[in-house]
Amino acid sequence: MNIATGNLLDFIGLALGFLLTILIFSYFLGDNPFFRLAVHIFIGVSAAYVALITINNVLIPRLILPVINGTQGERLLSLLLFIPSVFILFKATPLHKAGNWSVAILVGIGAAAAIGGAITGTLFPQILGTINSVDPSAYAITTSRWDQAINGFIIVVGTVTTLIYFHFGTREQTGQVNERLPIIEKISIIGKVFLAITFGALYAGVYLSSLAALVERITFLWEFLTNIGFTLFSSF
Amino acid sequence: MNIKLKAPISTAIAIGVGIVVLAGYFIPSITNIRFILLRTGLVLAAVALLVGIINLLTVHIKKMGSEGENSGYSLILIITLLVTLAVGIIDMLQTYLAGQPNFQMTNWVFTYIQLPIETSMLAVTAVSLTYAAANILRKRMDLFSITFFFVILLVLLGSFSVPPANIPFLHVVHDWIIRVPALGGARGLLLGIALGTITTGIRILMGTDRPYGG
Repeated sequence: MNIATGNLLDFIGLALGFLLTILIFSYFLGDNPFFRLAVHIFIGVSAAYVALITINNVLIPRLILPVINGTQGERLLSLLLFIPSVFILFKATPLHKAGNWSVAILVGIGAAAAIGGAITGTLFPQILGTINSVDPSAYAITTSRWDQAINGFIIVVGTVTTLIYFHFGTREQTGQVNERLPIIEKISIIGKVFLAITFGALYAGVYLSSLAALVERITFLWEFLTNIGFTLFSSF
Repeated sequence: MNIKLKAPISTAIAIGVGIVVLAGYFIPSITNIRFILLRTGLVLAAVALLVGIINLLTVHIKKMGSEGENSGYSLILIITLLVTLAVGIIDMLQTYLAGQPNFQMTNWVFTYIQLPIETSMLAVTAVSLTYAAANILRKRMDLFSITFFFVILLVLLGSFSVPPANIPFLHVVHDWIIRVPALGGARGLLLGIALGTITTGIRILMGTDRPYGG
């Protein structure tokens, strides 16, 4: 960052960034109007930015441009796409029920894509990964096979017990409080420990990222102030 | 079993379209239809997102009219939203009408307004997370909290590479935690999420759940 050699627009931007950072950092003193002001600016800018990205990256290339310079098939498809798109806009008006069928298309496609994605993208790869961790033929030759076998066993135990922790099915008993089977209850304690380890590792990762962001912001504030000082002194 | 079907057309559309898309994953001859439907879904999702933003704008216009305590913030939100939109639309017009790909003004807004706020918010969470981690054992002293706290400590200490805190043994422990038990737990979580997604998807495709007003 060198304000002395930058143009005026960059200087205004940096000053704005400095001000917004201070407004957000005012949260260290507790919730206050300055912080809320910055948050509302953020929501407004983010919403508009997301809208612009959506229009520029999805609606223009997939809905508008094919109508203007696409083949006959693409033109027809895009024109057909306009009908549910217009009806979905009714959701923002008092005639919102008119958009239900368009939302039904979106929900139907979304549900099917989610099922397909979950099966091919998560379920199969994760199950295969778990199986491979206890498969001796998949072990690396660089480290001890016993190490890999023990680690693989721990991974399998972690995966299975975590899944069991989320099993809340009970037997229905009249006049008694429904409780999980004692064996499930005991196994779920192990699952809880694995969950604590996973969440702990995730927490530490997020914490390290936020620390990096804090250091970056403090460096920015310091550099901005130093550069302002440099500009003021060099003008004399 | 008595099922009250309020919107049979919407339900039939959702089920029909969903089954065709799902079948497209397994039957190669209808893969093209699946791609066309996925493109339709993408465009509709984009329009739905715009509806969400229009709704945000309407809610804040109403809030501003009510002259409540937070009406000033709503005004700020509306102004920033409309100004950013206007800037972006000018950039887009320049790009598509004049044929010069130029998103300079939008990039300026992103670099000097959105990015500093986002990074500062993440920086603020550093303090909140420190406070929360310090309070874990004070609030609840059980197996989960103790494990959680010590894993955070070990992973953090194992991540530092600054000389006084650079302990090789902790690096080994850090790597092992990430590679073995945390991986096992994460796999369990991911499989649980995938199973939950499949169950919810099937409920929608069977018409049991109708989140489209049916």
